[in-house]
Amino acid sequence: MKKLMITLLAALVAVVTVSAEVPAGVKGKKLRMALVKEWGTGTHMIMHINGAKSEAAKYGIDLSVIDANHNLAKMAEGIENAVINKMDAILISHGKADALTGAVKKALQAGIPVIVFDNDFAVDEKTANGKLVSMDQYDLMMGLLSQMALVQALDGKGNVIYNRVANVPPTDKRHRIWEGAILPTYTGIKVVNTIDLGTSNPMPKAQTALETLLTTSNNIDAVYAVWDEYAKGFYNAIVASGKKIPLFSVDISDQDLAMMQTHPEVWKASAAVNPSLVGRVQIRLALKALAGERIPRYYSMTPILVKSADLPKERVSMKDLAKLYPAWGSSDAFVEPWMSTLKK
Amino acid sequence: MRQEERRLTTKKLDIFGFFYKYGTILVTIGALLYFSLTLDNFLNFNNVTNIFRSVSIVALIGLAITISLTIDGFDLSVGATAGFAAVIAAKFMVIWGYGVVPAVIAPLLVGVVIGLFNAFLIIKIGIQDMLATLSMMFLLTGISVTFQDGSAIYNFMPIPGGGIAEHTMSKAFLAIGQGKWLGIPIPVYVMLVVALLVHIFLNYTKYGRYLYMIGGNQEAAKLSGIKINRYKLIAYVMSGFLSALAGVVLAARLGSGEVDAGAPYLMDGVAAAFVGFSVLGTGKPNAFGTLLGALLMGILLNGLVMMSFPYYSQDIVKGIVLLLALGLTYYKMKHKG
Repeated sequence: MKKLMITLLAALVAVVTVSAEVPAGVKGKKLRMALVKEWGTGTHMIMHINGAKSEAAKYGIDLSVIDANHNLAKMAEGIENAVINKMDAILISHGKADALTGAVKKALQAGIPVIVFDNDFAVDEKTANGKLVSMDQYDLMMGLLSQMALVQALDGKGNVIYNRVANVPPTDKRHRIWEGAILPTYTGIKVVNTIDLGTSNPMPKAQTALETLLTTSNNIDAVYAVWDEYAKGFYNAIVASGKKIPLFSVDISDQDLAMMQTHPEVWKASAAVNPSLVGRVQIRLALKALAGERIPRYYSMTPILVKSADLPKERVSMKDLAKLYPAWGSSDAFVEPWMSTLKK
Repeated sequence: MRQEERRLTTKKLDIFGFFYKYGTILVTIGALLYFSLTLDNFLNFNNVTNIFRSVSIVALIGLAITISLTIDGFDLSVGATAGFAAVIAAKFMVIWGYGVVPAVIAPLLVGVVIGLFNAFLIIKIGIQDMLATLSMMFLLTGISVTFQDGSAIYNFMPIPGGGIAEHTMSKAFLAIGQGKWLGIPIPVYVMLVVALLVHIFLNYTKYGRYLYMIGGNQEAAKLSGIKINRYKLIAYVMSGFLSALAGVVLAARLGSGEVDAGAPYLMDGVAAAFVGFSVLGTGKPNAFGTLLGALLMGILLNGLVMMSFPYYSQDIVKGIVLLLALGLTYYKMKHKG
């Protein structure tokens, strides 16, 4: 109780004076955090890990990364181990709520802040106790940006091969916009086929599926990919077909950019958030929670629409996107004055 | 009365015998009929070649498993071998700038080495087939991800040291997966030629007969003077080689070396090989059956995609087909005598 009072007081002082005084909750401590990921491969995930790592290094935080390699049981175990090892904060990326809620509750009950990316847990307010954040890439907005790009390119009328991945939180959010906003508004858009091939290694399957559809129908005006792993397969299928069907998608990777630059007439645009910023913001939110400052229950990053027409002639990678889109490069979300003191 | 009973049983058995022999083929024809009646363009030439192309990798992996099954073994490392081979091919071209020939030969050699290592674990160390190859599966998946630094290998990729990869996958290599000759995709030729060679090898050579003998009764084979270890080694080396070939086709088809891309092909390959058991009532692993098993799965998947079925319903259909095929095979085995 006394400790809590001191923390609260310290936080209050920090806020009132707007000084760079480091809150007592984090001051002089060697903080240890765990980043538990459902999987850790691919550009996107590596950039996420690197973002979290470099932000952690800034503040002298010891960050251990646990890659569950698609094994949810291992993921739950990783969270529980972090609780047992008395980590100061736990960052999570992806996973399925059903499999992890128990472990997350344990962490929260032990007073450990849990900052979750692309997942949410049905935890009551008392257990959450202001220490649970559910972050996303603003999937609703990414859906809207990418789908509106498609609507614009088709002048609101045409046959679309649509892709959804059901029962995965981020892709479900993107789909809600399509179903609830785009289709009822732009009634000229007709879905001629929906491809859903799950989350495990969808690229080759998506390629085969679209090849099938492109050889059996001649009236496709655009293809939509709710996730870039599908888009890569779709891209291959469209390029191989020799047709010029525009492709719109969500998420981006270096590989996606290379493809967009090779055939900008095919892969037109993709809505995305810089994954390294997600990692950075997760660390900041954890720090704020440890400092006893108020953190939001939900937070969405700011996505941008990467258009192949915007890309320069020379090859670019994701880090170059900052030059083209200022919002891509950095985010000052949840940066507090005391954090720069902590850096030193 | 008694005579009549007997007649009835014979008749029943005949019906079963008929389904046992032709069940898989009938299901395939039934699926073809159903889809061609309900879907426009299903039987259009391009879609038929599409189906063949879509099963080429599964069929190659299935053939690799088939060979390991002939000696009553089981190679679980086939998918991982294919994934690793694909990454090797991609890295040879994109990062190291080799031409098409080394980019095909190197992964195939690695496949052979993996087969040798599997054989070593199983024959010399004495680990059970499934466990040895399961360990290899994990090992290879891990090595592959390390070898590619956790990221796919593709044209114009940024290099960890800075800059962009200077080399690209050669057109000749991509043709292995994407090209056509006389209107038929090249991977289809690869699949058909390999299936034919495996069929000849298993049925018309001394080696094939010995492999089946070892699988049928290892002790008997040993007593009749067959060098069991030598033939087991041959089986695993061939399995590794064919898996690597599947990986080369996979890389050429995707145009990149993806992370763990071979994994999903393991189970589909296993399914193709076991559906193959029931084809023409052979009741044993065989190349023609595996090819037909892969095609049956490909036809079902193709039709279901055209009908916009989501993936879990496709899995249900795959499961039912496999169960039916296995049911036929094992029921027959049980009631043989």
